[in-house]
Amino acid sequence: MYFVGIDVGLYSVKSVLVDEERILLSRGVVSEEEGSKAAYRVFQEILKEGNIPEDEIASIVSTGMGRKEVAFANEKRTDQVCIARGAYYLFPSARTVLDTGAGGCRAMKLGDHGKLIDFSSNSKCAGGTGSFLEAAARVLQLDVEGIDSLALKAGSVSRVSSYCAVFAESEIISNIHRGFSKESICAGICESIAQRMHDVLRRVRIEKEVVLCGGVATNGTVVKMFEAELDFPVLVPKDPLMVGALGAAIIARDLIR
Amino acid sequence: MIQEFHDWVHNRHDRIEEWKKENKRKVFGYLCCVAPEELIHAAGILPVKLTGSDEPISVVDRHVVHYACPYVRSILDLAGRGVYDYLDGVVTCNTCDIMSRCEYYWRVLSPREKSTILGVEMSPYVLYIKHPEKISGKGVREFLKQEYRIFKQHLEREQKIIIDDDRLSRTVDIYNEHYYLMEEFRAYRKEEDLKVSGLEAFEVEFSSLLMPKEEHNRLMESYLGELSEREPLPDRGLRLLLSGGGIDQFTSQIYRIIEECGGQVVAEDIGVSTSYFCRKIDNTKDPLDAIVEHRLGVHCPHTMTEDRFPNERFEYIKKVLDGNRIQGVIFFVPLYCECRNLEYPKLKEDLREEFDVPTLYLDNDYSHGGLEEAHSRIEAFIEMISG
Amino acid sequence: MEDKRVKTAPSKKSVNTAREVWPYVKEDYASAHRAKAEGKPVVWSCAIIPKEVFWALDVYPVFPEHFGVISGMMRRGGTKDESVEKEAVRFSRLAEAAGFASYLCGYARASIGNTLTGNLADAPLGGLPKPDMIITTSFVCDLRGKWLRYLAQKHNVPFYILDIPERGCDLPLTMPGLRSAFLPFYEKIKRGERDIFFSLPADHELDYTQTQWEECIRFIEDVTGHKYNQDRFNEVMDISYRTNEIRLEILELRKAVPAPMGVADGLACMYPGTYTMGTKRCYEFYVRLRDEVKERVENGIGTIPNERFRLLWYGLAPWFNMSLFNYFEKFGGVFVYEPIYNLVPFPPRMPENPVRELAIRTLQQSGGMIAPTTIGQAVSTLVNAAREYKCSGIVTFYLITCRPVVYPTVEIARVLEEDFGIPAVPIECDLIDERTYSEAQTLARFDAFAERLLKMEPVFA
Repeated sequence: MYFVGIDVGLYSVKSVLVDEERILLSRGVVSEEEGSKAAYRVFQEILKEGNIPEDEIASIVSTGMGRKEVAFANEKRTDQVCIARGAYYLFPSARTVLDTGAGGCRAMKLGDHGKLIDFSSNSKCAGGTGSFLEAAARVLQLDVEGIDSLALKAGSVSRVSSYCAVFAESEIISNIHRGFSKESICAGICESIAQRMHDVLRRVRIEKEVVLCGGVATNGTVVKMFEAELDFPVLVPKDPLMVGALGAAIIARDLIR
Repeated sequence: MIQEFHDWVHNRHDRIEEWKKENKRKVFGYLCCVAPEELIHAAGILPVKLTGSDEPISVVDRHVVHYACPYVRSILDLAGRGVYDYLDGVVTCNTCDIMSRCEYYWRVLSPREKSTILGVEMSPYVLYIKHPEKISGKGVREFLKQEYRIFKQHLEREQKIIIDDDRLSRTVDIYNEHYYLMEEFRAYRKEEDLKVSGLEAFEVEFSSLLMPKEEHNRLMESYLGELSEREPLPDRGLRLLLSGGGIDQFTSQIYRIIEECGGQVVAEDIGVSTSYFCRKIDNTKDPLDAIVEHRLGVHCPHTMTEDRFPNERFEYIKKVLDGNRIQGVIFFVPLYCECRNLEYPKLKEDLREEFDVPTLYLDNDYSHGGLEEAHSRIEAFIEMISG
Repeated sequence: MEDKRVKTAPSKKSVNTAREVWPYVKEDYASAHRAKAEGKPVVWSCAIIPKEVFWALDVYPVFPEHFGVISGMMRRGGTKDESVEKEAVRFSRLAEAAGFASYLCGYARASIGNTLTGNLADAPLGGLPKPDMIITTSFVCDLRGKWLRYLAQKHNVPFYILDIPERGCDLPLTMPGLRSAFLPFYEKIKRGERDIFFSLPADHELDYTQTQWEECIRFIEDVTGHKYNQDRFNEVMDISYRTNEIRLEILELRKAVPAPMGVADGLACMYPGTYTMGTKRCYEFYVRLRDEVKERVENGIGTIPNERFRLLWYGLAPWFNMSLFNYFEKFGGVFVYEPIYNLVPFPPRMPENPVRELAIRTLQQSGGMIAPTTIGQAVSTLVNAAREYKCSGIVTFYLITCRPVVYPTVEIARVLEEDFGIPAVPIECDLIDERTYSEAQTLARFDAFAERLLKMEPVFA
């Protein structure tokens, strides 16, 4: 028997296929199609790749912002529940999980057996989210990876003190005008994001181990600075973008059991 | 029956104006639930609760900063646009920093000339009552009683009558009947097999603040009769407590959202209706004293007590929880509502420690967008509790 | 080369006496810790509460609000390294993590965050000594009641709130019918013809306030075992009264052109009078200040040599960046006067019933400029101030985290601009939390404002 989790996010659709024992496949596409179409396409692709007939899929759970558009899913679950489940599956020692994607930043607290017991999200402001990182990159005429690689070389940090993303952008511009090095400005941007992430995580009371997932987890400098904020290392999955879809797949499996 | 309650809630301006025309009586609006409705009623005036609307803000920005309660801003915007012109008087009390300033804002946004003697209005259009912040301890009752005497005098001059004890006692009887009926009603919400949804209960309660109490009492009697015969709801949902402010005919959509997500509000700690937290008015006492005591019993996050180790908010919430088998608490707090925000962290902690009840905190920015955002978080909260 | 310009900095002071304030503050924190060590009861209280009762009953008051101020100015361990966040930011983030909103007063978030660290002393100037009781008031804002109640719960110490009636719209309240007399006078207020500042409290307001004070005294007696002594209380009240008369003299002197003592000095010199009123030390400070300001006036010494425009300041202070008060100097502009923290005239002394006297004073303040609880009074106060201090522009502090301060801003700016031709410019942020501040936005606004003022004829010259 096979189980599928589908995560329909802001810009991309991710899917994970599991059987009763292990993770078999994962697949993600960046798509401008509407969520239902993209979800179906990804689902078909993963079946094809795994060479599995559709009727052997015992259950499908969808998650993410567009979860309700996935008409062929048996059940729908919120991101918080799926990410918590996925993170716990990957790291049974996880007690706190932070997910930072384009749309926002949220923290989840796990209780016994990985049960979700509390969660928090960033305020409406984009500070501390992937969107802020993208906006900052535009100001510096870099791509998101460029910020990471420049920040890595920084000898100092030009601090961005404002927590409002709009103000922070103007602060970055004035740091440029002041003649601070691009490296230190990039480090400042990463530090600002790491701090906002810490703020969201703290709202659920941090307990070790901490799992970090979502797009921002691929930025090495942010991760490093986030660890410095916490004062201990965090666990980052190999594929931090797939945790929600994985959680959905595990929940799909639990449904049948 | 429920249709009639619903109609008063959603067509309040029309219904009130209709009533006014038919009965040739005056209507006073009040902003907060501590306002002594009973005195207004005893003066032969219909007291109605003022609320905002989901229409876009248009005139209020000229006078009121953006960094203020969006619910009150919406009410004031309606005043500035003349929507509340049918009122003959407006009452505001000191129940928070913005409420105490509404006397000024209302006058500036909706000025109304009233006749004066030697430059002094005998019965002003906007009345302000300095409701004490501290509701227990020495001197509190005497102080509020004098405030009520002044308020009563204004009403008397407005109506050219004397409000004597007989008039007050008649009003007290009508209000007590209301409290009695509402208590009976609330018993239904404690039942395991719920017959009343949260939203329906809210509308029943809320309509009592808009229509004449006598009329509401009359409707309630038959409604309660109907209720006893009713079948339980098909889908019970998770039992939740709603704590918050700025909840009216618009933001009560939060009830519907909670229901859509698989929850059901079975009890409230919200500042709209006195009957949620007040016992009956003591009719063995001097009626003005009894009304003072009753209004000091109104439970609001703004008020404080004389307790040296104060914990009255949690004690109160505990009472609300009692017998309701609450599985989660949703805090739905108006943006910039400092009183409610400041008490939240401790309540969250206490609820977790003492009852192992999880909480969800939502900002109520009094907008459709805000309600939508609340939707996904409520969904996650309910999924979380359901396991 | 990287520019090492400091983004936020303290103000530059002109008056020498203002430089005494920082050592004065440091001495207060040190002596608070000494008092605690000697077993003297420590009360956490607030700026707006008259302190005389504390001195008379021999308890040592300290102030979470002021703790906020110093955390807004200093970084951990006293470092000047800009890559270290200010203490106020560190504490605020902890408070927010516990669920307190970022729109709450920075002072509240700072002191709550500090308490939540579990180590009060890991803070600027060694922080506040642990409280033995907490006394707050309902006066000025809703927040201070609930904020200090939370701290009392956390420290598990007895709590008292002094309730003061929140006065409404503006005019005499002695007779019930009179309170709405505000309306007919509104036009006059707009023209600045009538001062609506002193409305006499009604009897029941006075009785209530007096009872609140008596209960406060009883509370301190119960908690500490100390006994209230009227003679001792009168001594303290005498010093306060005399100090306030000196402070009023200073306010009179500050009207001079060129301005002898600007807002940068004014906000620095608020400390002794706001937190230590009723002590000899405080009295002597203001005598020295008065003498210096007087001398400056006599010799025509101003904050800046050539004044081209004079500015009024509305609101509390952005403590994390007081250098803003020197910003207009390069344009020939000077901040002349700030109504906040400057006390109103006290009622006459009543030695036979000083508690009644204190009640009268408290209520007069509650209608006053130090903390205007009504919009009309705030507008009127600023209109009068602009006229008396010959200001041609006003900077209004859109203190986004303080409801009572931010509420009147729109009306102040509107009435001053529309009815008096005095333009206004806002600055939007918290008082100590620099995360809320945008330098680019603020300075762009200030530059445009200065240009506008330089083109204008002074309004009240």
